[in-house]
Amino acid sequence: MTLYERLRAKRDVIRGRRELYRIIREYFEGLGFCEVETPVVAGWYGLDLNIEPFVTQYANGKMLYLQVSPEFFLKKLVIAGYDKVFEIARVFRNGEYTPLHNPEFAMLEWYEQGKSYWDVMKRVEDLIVHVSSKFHAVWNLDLSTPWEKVSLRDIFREYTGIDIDEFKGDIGRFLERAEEQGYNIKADYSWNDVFFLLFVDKVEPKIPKDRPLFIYDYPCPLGGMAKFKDDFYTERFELYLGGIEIANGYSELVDPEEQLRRWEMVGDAVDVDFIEGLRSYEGNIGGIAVGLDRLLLLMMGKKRVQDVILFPFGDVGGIAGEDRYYK
Amino acid sequence: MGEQIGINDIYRGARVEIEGTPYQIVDYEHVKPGKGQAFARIKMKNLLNGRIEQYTFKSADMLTLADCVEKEVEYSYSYGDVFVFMDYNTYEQVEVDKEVIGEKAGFLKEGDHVSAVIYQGRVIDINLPKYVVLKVTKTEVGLKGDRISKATKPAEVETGLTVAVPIFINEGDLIKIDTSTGKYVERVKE
Repeated sequence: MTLYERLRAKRDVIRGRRELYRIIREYFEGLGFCEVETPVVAGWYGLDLNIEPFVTQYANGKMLYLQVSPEFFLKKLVIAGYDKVFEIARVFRNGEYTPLHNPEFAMLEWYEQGKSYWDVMKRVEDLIVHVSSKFHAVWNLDLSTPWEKVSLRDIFREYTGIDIDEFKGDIGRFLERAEEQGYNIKADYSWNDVFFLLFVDKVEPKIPKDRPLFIYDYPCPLGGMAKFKDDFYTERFELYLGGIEIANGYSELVDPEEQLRRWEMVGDAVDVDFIEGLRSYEGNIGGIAVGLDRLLLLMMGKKRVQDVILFPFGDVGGIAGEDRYYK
Repeated sequence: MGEQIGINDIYRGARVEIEGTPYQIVDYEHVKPGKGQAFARIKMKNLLNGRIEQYTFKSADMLTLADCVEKEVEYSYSYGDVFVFMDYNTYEQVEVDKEVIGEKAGFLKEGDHVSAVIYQGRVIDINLPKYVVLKVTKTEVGLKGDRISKATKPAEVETGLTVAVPIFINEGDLIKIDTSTGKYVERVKE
């Protein structure tokens, strides 16, 4: 198909996205949330070493980054006293182009003062059930509540036979255990590498395709911006819907010293305003990021995020060579 | 160690070697879990036993390309589960198991030239020419003035393969077939 044929075939997608955004906005406004807009370009981009930002430059040569998530701005608003904020943001992640990733995509994020990750799980469950009742979704998912929750330790142990707890402080033995299971463990593999190798190979394919599933309590190397639950696990969860990872939420890390430690570990520009704000902030923050293109693709029964984006990366001059996912 | 290929650069049909076993990439899927690095789930055919196996690799990993040589051979005949080819430079006979030939058998007729892919002295695959010409041995006579929308019918060719052909094709016709898709291309005059 040509670009123009593809665009004509996406009339339902235009309607679907407009409808989804309208329902989301009504939902949050009804709860007293404040919708905001935050910058796309900033001098830092966060802590996730597995996300490559798009890098640009100010006229004076200062390095700037397209935002991979609006989270820091939204948390600053909560610190400033806006106790419930949400944004439908455009975010950018370099090099991520698969049937479930477009380098530029739409993300819904919200942050609430005084909430924990359990509250956030409840809220996202409520939101999606609400959306589903208003939107003529074609998905075939059993959304009856409460949605199933499983700790990462339990689901990992169930499908890999490995209890993460046994290898808390012992990377060497964890790697050895994976090797015993037949994995080719290279010398430069980290704890994270081996964890995800097993997760992608053994756990993810087993995540139910017909209903939602929350996986919660990730070990600290995978904690992102979540607060500690104990000395090893963090209060982070992921929501899978129809087997697709759709949202990531936290009891936000509000300890300024630990926050600073994580920023310095990554070694890039530190968001000083954020750390300073946390020093004077009391209480918890619950927050989440929901991938809206994936939610839309599920609701509309499409196969790839490129099917619900009017101009996917291959249609903006973004792909060098053949577009193996879309055209 | 042979030439390396990055996981992000792999393609369908690439031949790689893992711990001494040659594989051919059948399919792959790039995945990137939240807070995790990128991986690829790769389906590969074990070229020694024909089985499909699945492996997961980090996208930053490298694979070793299987060090294969190709040799032009002529298909002579088959007996039981063995296909016999002749190296027409040395006149040596080369025997290949049915599993290695697989569905490609439907495109092979005696006297055809193909290239045999040899890994450590053993034929692990054959490369067919892009097109082959085969004679139709069985097909129904197309109805004149047929108004139904379906303008094709099945035809069996001399190797036993069945191909969808236009209704004007008759038994005894020679037809050109695309070996990568198994589809009819055109009628060929003798």
